[in-house]
Amino acid sequence: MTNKETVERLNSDRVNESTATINLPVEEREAVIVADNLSKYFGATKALDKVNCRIAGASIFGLIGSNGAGKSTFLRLAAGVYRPTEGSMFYRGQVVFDNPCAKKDIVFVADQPYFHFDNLKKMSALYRSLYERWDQELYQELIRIFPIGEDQRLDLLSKGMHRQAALILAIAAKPRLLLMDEAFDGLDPVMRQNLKRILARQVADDGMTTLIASQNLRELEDFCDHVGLLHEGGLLFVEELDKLRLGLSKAQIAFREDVTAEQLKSAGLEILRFSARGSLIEILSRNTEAELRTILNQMNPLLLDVLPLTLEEVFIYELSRKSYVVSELLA
Amino acid sequence: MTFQIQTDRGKGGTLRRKSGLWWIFGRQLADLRSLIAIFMFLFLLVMPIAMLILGRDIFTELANRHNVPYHEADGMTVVYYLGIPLRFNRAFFPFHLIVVTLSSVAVLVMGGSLFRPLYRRETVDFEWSLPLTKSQWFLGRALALVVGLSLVYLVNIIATSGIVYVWGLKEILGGYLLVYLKTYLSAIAFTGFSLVFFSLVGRLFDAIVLNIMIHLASPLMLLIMSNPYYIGDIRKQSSLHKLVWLFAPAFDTYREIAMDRNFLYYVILIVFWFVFGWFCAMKRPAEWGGRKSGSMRWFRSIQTFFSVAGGIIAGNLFYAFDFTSFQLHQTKLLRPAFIIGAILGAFLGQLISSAITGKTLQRVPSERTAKRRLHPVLYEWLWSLLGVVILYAVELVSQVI
Repeated sequence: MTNKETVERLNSDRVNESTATINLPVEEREAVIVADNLSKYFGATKALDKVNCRIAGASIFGLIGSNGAGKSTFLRLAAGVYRPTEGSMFYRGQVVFDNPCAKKDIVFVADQPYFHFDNLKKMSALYRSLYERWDQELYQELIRIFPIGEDQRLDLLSKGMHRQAALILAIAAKPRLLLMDEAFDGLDPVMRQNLKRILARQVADDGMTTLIASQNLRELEDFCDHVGLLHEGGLLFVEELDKLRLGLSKAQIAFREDVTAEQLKSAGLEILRFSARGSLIEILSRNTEAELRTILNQMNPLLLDVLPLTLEEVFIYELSRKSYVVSELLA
Repeated sequence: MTFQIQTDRGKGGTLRRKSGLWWIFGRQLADLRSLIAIFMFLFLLVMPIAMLILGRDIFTELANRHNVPYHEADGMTVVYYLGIPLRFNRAFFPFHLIVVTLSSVAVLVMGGSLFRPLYRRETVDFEWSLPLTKSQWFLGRALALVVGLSLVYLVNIIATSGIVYVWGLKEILGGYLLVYLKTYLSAIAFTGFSLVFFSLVGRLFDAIVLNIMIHLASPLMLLIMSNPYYIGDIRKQSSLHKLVWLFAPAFDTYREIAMDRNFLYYVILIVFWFVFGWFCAMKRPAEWGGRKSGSMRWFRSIQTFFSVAGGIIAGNLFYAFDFTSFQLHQTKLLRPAFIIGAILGAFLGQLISSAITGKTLQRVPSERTAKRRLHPVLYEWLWSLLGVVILYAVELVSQVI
């Protein structure tokens, strides 16, 4: 399919014509990023293979996958660094590659940040001259939160401080689309929280869309609206995080007598995972929390503790439904 | 939202504060200022400062030393321009070789400094994600390189001309400026040639080494093919020779002192290399950064050149030691010594260029190479045989022309 034909087909769909606004449900927001049959090969190696997805505006999208899954390649395609081998990558309807009109709204924080100049003062001047939406007040606020001196030599900073400097510049440029590869890599817990808070504020106040690629599911689970799982260059699924969690429950229970998974199933629970350690049983079931409590209370447990679900557990469930070997995917 | 085909490539209005091209040019020129200062000093050292150290009398003697019938016979002395005899080579000759060498070094060093970011992944990520086009990056860099070199040449000629004028050698000044301008234009043509390599390769090392290798191979081929007494011989020029000289613009610059070329020649050469360099830059994908040039597909097409050069050099070397060939009056191309030398030389040329550019000669156990039944070394043999075939064709054509 030629580029022109792709554009015509996408135009005929005319999905989500409305302007992006965070008051709208995510499904109804404008698609900021659209990957259409996107493929990228490096010689004979397939990094991405016919990926189709749309990422809504004013949201935080987590892209997860194991090493070599294609996360960084996807981000580089979204940033316009790579030209797609096949298919297209659109930002608000425009091809990204070699297109400054699209790229002036996009800032990419790579896994290895690069600084053209040796201090933040000069780097901020560089960004200010390139990005029209640069916010000097926000920049001043950020250098107070992330304690890096404007005149401090950047090449002498640690890995975490490097990352902080790159994030200061990226956020202060006020991009409409922020792309981050391993955003939390090297940051200490306090700075991670600071970063999450700032990003959430920018999304809420400025309608910024954030796309984060990470191997660490736990980093993303309390933070993202949507998650997508890449594996061997293919996008296995994209789902809203709350929807993923909906209908799944996890509990720790203990009974006077030994109880088997079969007994719980016959009581009406849809057991996805069952593990017993002594008298303590941990279950993952496809029931709502209320259903779980009602059924288990009827069995007079000694202990019933409903636990929060981790993103990893949700993924294990979702992927096992799709018959994937989970340990391989999330290694 | 309406999807559209990209039509605006950022020209005009994309960046309200400053045009992308001028932004890049300004940045690159600022990054280059230290190197510009260094080369400015070196140029001043080898021309005006050297003149002052030598003094008027020694300089004049050096200049006149070459104004002898021997050189005139080889086309190296007086050239008439608009009916006026220009004895520019007399004045410029003491400095010509060193200025040309310094120009070539300046182009490679300053160009290497400007294009170095293309060869590292983190800098490519940074630069190519900025709201600027590939075209702007290339043109900004090329412009900065040309302006940097021009500044060096300009300051140098102002100082040198001042000294020549003060010394009362006004009659040679016009000719002096003319050959200086031609040398400058030739250096700009070499800049364009180098831009092609800077845009094509994956490593800075490859850009410089390949450039030098081609510059070594081309004149050697010419030297052997035409058997002149020296490279500057302009009387035995054939179309084929002229064509080969195009692939050694830095060496060609050494001949400026003796060439009476039309300015159109320089314009065509400069435009050709810059447009070709721009074309290569546009085709260059981001993922080439850090890759060994030997593994790139385009390298195969120029690698035959090294086979041909190796074949010509070794073939002629072997032939020179075959003393019976002179008695038999047999054509060189049919002599066993030449054939053996050509084949061995072609293979050696192929192997050396492969080793330098990091082309692997081992079987790589991947899905792709498993389909290739030939062993890489055998593959090299076949390519070098192609080089021998081209060599014979070139030799035959050169004999016919």
